[in-house]
Amino acid sequence: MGSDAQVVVVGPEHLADRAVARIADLERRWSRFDERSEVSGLNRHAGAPVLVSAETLELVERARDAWRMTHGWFDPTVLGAVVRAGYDRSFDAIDAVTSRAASSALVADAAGIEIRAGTVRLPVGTGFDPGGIGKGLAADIVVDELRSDGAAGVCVNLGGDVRVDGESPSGDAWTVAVEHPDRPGTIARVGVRSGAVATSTTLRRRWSSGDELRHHLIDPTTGLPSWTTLTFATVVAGHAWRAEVLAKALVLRGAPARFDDVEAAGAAALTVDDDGRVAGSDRIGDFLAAPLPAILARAS
Amino acid sequence: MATTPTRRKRPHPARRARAAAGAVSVGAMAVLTGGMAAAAHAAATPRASQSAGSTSTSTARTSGDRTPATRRATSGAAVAGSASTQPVTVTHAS
Repeated sequence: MGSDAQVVVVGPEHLADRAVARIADLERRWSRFDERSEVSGLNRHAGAPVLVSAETLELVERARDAWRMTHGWFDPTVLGAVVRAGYDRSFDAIDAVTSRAASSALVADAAGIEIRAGTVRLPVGTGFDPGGIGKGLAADIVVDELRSDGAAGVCVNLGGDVRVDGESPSGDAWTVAVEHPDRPGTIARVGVRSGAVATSTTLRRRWSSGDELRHHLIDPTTGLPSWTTLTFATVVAGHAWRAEVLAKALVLRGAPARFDDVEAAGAAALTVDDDGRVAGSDRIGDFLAAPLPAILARAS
Repeated sequence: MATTPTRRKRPHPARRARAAAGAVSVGAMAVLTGGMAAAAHAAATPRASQSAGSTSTSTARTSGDRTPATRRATSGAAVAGSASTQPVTVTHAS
């Protein structure tokens, strides 16, 4: 998934080391770029039940939950389309590509994923892409485990998917800055005592294929990279996996931003469209240090 | 589901679904090769150096016999607090 990880622990120092080790463990289980991972095993054996660890079982369960929660806008079975678009290796390794052979059907949907007795069976011809939800869920798992192990407070940030719980270093709420979509600086500060913040955009993880610019957000209705006019979304939710998929779904649904799924999930969000117009859901003001600007200055 | 801009080539899958302690000291830093944990930065602050801090999460942690995995599956809203001028971390799209 090619992302940085940041861990802040209020408590014994060895817990920070434990967090780093656990993140690496989850990466080994879930990376689709590691042929030995459990997710790679699932994809190789699509159509057959595959015995997986409790962590991977939970990943697949949460992915199905996310598919339902977003009414299909988040779809973990877009792997074939992601690969077809050229994202077939860790992002750092992508250069200009001309074409890629897809490893699975265009897009299936998560309804066909079967979970039974510790096994997962993907529909024949499909592939599972843990992508963003894997980062979010990993942050959730590590925070929950460290809190159970005695940490007074924990913050885990995996590639921008942030989960916090318990005491912050200052004793106040955990403050998470929201990075500007396309230029240095931040656009907001979010205060959270317990919960998660995640961001999705079509402005990052772009690459070229011939003359065509592509990115990693696949529209499940077309199987192609999405080019909606909503380019950026940040969601505040109880858990990072939920914030991650809600943010992705907001961007995929396009402008004007529709916050119905976000609000149904008890979450809050802010969005930015192509023209820099900023919008927020009803509850987002509860978390912000200052009112949102109406228009965001964009990079020229 | 509400309609979306153009380019739709087949029905959306949902139709089929129906369904005060000062700054944090850097306690450890590690670089892991590859993937999600390509660069992992860990910081730990001894508990003794912290103020009382938030207790807002204790309710969720004593909510019965549900496992952490079950808790993660249930909806739970984030608990808001006042943002300070010094962010602990940054959210960005990766």
